[in-house]
Amino acid sequence: MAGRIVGMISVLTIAGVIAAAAVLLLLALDSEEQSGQQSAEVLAESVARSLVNVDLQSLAEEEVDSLLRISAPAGGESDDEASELSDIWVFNPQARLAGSSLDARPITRSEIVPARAAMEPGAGTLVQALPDGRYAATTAIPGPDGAAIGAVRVEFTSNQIGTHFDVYQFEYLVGVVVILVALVLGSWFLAKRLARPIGLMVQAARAVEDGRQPEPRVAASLRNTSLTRDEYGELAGVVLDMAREVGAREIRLNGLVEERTVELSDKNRALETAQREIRNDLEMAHSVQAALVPLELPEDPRAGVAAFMTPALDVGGDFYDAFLTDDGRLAFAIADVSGKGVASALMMAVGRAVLRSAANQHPDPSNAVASTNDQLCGMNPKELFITAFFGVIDLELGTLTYVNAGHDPPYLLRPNEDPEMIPHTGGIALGVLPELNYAETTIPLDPGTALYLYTDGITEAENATGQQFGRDRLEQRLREANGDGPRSLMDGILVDLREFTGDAKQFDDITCLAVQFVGGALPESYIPGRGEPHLASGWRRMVVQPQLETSLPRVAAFVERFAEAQGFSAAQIYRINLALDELLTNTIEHGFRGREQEADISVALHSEGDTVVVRYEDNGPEFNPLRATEQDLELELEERPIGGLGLQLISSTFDAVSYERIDGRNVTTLRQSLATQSAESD
Amino acid sequence: MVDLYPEYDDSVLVLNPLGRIDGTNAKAFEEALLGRIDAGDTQILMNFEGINYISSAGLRVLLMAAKRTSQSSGQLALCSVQDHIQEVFRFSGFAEIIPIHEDRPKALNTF
Repeated sequence: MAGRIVGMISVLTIAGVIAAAAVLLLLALDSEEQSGQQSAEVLAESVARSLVNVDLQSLAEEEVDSLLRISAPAGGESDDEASELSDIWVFNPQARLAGSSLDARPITRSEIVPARAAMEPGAGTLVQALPDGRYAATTAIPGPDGAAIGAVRVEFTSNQIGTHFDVYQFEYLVGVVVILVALVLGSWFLAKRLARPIGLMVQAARAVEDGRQPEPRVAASLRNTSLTRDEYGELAGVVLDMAREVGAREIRLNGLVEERTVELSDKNRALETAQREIRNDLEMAHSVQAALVPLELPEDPRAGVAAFMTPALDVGGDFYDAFLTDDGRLAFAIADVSGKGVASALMMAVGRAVLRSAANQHPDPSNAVASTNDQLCGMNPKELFITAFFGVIDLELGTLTYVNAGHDPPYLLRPNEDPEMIPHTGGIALGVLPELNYAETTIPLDPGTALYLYTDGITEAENATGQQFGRDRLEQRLREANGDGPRSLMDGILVDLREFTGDAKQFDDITCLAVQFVGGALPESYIPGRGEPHLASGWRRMVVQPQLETSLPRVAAFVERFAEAQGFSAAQIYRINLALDELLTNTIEHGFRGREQEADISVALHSEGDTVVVRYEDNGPEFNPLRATEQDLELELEERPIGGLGLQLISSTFDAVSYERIDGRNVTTLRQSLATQSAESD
Repeated sequence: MVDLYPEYDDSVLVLNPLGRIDGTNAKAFEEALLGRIDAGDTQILMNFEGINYISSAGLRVLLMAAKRTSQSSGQLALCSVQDHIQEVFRFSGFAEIIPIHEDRPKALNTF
């Protein structure tokens, strides 16, 4: 920019200088001509003066020739130069040729006319520039009276005058060059001076553009410039302000960038942490899922159970369960929660807990499943659903009652028969719609019959070529394994599956459960673990939770199921219920108040001929209901104490009541002859 | 809450409870029944037609109610009691203290 301005100013200056030089040159040329004319005049007049006293009538050529040696007075030139005067012509007053120098050319009209003119009074000397570069001067020869007595014309070569002119020309040229140089230097200096602040501003602006502050030297100069009150000063001030402003903004921006960078790296770190946490969570969910399936399978000589589950890497929602219900039946389930991930795993955990609890609360699988469905619908924000197969085997009767809620039908392996799918009961998956009824089906099981339950993680397992394991392979294997125990049946399929899939990635949970009904009676010597709902054959036993509100209806249902199978009357059922109610209420409200978690209470029912035996056990403090304060039933109403009545009732309604303290347990046994009761109630 | 389905037949308050009276709801039953007596009803007939189970906890409440009405020169009676429940009243001796009538008209005649 500054360069351009300097250039422009220089160009303008140079143009001006050139113009000035041209004018000077013209002037010089003009004075050259003038000086040429003056020389011609001087020469002509010198020659004229030397002819004043000469008789023009007898003018000899030699005389004229000698005149040629007259030199011009200007400059005091040498003789050589005078000799440059080439020709002289002398005219008489009539303008006729009076004589001429040797070799002078004959005159013509163009010589005569100036001669006549020159002789006019006051004409002076006439000078002519000749075409060949020479000059001619014609002047009058003054007589004694001042009137012209003749005229003389001299011509001289340009040589003489040229030399004369060259001197002039050189001097002019030097002058012109000096002025030119001075002008150029001056204008360059001026331009430089004018452009300097602009250059500084450009430097400053460029520095700002590059994100730097102007150099201190530049800034200082600009500050000086800004103090002046012209446009440059103002502009410099503006540039300085701008630089300051931009600098400040730069600093702000840099700060901001730094801040953001720190924030970003913080966020990155947080993200990494979160990712690690999610991974940990997934791993935990994975192990939680694996841990949530029952570690211990129920043990009962009348049935065999084997189960297996491998969660997929990204946590699925399969589960299985197998347990003895409070009333001693074998309940089992297999289920697949839709979706994958932590939500599914949680749903699976909830689903299993709810189903297990419902199975104890509702003796009928259909009600247990319906209740599970209702509860799951109430706590299913993710709208997951669970396909499930739930079955209960009555080990006494050898029946399977089951509900299929949208699950792949399990296989039934009857001894020596082809595997068959267990007919679907038409139930919808759990967690979809509340308040649905689920149908249940009951089928008899011959001893040795096995059930194989699985999730689609098995049939849809893929090998490296994307082929699925499929039902055909499964059925083939089941056919071959029919007759094996549940463990080897299950393991055989898993081995086949592993061979099939090879190293291919496992996409879904792989879960299966095999149950075999062995049948037969429990040996008399069979002693189950504490709290296990087993007794010797012919007994029905139920573990009772120490909460009256939930336990009373469950005990009542348990009694009813037992009684119905035996053909008891409503009164008999009521008596048993009443007795158990009174015993339970007493135990829970007095024996275990405040330490319910320690309670281990069970009820067992047995029918011996026409006698019902009720055996009630609890591990509370020693308490003999028979020693409870006997109430005097004969007392008047107003005198009767309130309460303490229930235990009295038991004694009244049962034929025989006995109490024993065995191994820290209160064991109360009630007996009632059905015949007696029937007679009484009739 | 226990609903007693109360109605009046002349000056007699007839209550028609349903279902079970056992340890789980005896407290609510007690509050509802004794609340009636405290409010001034002393002639009370309990129609037990809809009761299919009562435990000693329920008997205890009936006993308390019988005492209160008796103190206020009123009375508490039962009617239409199912056989197996009547048995309990018999065994417990309650049948001796609380009048039990065959049906509602017969019971109302005794007030």
